[in-house]
Order: sequence, then structure tokens, then C-alpha cells
Amino acid sequence: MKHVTKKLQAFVAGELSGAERQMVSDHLGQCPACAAQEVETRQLWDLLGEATAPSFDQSDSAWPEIQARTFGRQEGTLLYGGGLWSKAGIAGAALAAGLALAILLPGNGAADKALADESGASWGSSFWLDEQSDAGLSEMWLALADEGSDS
Amino acid sequence: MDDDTLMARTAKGEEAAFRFLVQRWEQGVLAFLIHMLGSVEEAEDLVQDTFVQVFGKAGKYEGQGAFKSWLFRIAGNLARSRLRRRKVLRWVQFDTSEHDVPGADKGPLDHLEQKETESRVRQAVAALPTRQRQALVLHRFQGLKYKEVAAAMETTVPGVESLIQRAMAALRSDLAGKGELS
Ligand SMILES: [Zn+2]
Repeated sequence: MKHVTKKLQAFVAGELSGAERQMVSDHLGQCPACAAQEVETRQLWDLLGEATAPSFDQSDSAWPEIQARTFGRQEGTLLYGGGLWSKAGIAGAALAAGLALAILLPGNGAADKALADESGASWGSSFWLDEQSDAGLSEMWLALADEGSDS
Repeated sequence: MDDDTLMARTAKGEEAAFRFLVQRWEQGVLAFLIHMLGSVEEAEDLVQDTFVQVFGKAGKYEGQGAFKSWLFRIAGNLARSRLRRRKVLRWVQFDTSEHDVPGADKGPLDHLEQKETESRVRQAVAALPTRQRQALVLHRFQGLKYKEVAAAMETTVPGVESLIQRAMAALRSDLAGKGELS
């Protein structure tokens, strides 16, 4: 009779296929030595089952930290915090785009306006067609920040 | 929704899908890491690192049903590199009192004995060599099949079987010496 010592751990853990399981099971019914070892193996297996790590409340979820480390640092997450800062960020970016156009096309008002409209920056176009001074720029900045804080 | 679908959506940057995955798996990963590291605090750190890596590698995931193995491979690699750096395993006994509720049929003494047993078993598990511990914890506590453990540990099924058998033999002699096994 071939003992099944080496199969017992897998047997107890439910890792054996149907045929193997049947073979071990049949053997255990006839072999006291293997049966005793199966009891020992199962006893330790069950004891281990009592030592799982403590479970934590779902309120202890690490999601907020994980979210901050993944989505919170991605590009475009100026929007993430909401409020004035994110709007100011967008306004700043739009302002920079407007400035770039203004620098590229000095003195060509009509072309400026056409390009500005195309780029979706129509809100600024009429302004910097008329005024391109520093004072005008800061005025535009304030207007944009204001527009942002309203919505 | 299954894990593979959630991973595909995570790869596209869908926050809700990723959140779902995190909340589905974080308890299991935390428990695994506690057993691996013996420290709740360090385990909590590595839970974050694990999911940050899951997110970062989501685009490369082609698991087809093997998410669990893939996830625990990341967690296991992080745990083992942490252990290598630390050299000595520090086993901090965590207080389970606020999480456990004594069984209705058990008196306070039984509950105390139960806790002592749990603590001894955890310490015996913590004393196992790293790879034996990793295989055993994934199999016994996280419910991974030998095949899944093999994938998580980048080894073969017979390799896992051998690790678990050695772990069980070591535990048996350790715990028998402490009177936990007859
Ligand atoms: Zn036998």
C-alpha cells in the first residue's frame, strides 16, 4: 500500500483534483498511519485559520491617500480642488495663450482677432486688439479671475 | 464588475473603476502585508505603494482573470524589498481587542486563551523564512490556489507545494513546542 503523506497538505487545502482526492480519501479509509497524519495536518490548518490579521473598518480605507497619489498629482488636476484657484489656473493658461498670439502677430488686429476666435480665446481678443499695455493685461487678468469666481 | 474590466477602465484613467478595485482588495492586501511585515503601520504604507503601482502599471496588465496573482505579486515584491532593507523582522503584536468580538458562547477566559493562541500562531508564521511565509499566507489567509500563488511568486506549482509543506512542518514543530498542537 502506497502512503499518501505527500498529498495530505494539498488534500486538506482542497487543492487536489477529483480523481486524486478520491484516491487519497480511499487510502485514508484503510490506513491508520495516514489518517492520523491527516488529522494532524487538518488541526494545524484550522489553527492557522484562527490567526488571520484583524479586519479593519471600511472607514479606514486608504483610498484618500491613494487617490491623492494617483489622480491628485496628474496633469489637469488643477480642477480637482475646484473653486477659485482652479479657475484662476485656467484663466492663467488662457492668458498665456493670448499673450503668445499677441507676440506672434503684433499690429495686425484683424488677423489677431480671427486667430483668437479660432483658438477659442474670443473673450480676450477684443481686449488686446485695443490695449496691449501692462495695465491692460492686469485688468484683463482681474476680469478673468472675477469671471471664474462667479460660476 | 470583474477585476479585468475594472483594470481596463483604470488603464484609461477612470477614477471610479480604480476606486472600486482599491476598495475591493485593500483589506486582503493589508492582511497579507501585516503577515509579511509584522507591522500594521508599515503594512499600511505598503498598501498605498501597492495600489500606486497597480495604477501605474494598469496599461501593461494583460492578466485575463489573473488579477489576484498580479496584485499580490506587486505587494509581495514590495514586502520583500522592504524586508531586505530592514534585515531583521520586527514583529509588533497588534492589538485586536477593538476588532474582535468574543463569541456569544465563549466566556472571557476562553476569549483570552483564543487571543493568546492567535498571537502565538502569528508569531510562528512571522518566524518562517520569507518565501515560505509568503506562499503560506497567500494560500491560507488570502485563499489563493497553488496555481495563483505560483504566478504571484513567479515560481511553479510544485515549488509552491514544497514551500507550503516546509512551512507547515516548521509551524508544526514550533507550535507543538508551545503546546498549541497535540
Ligand atoms: Zn498510508
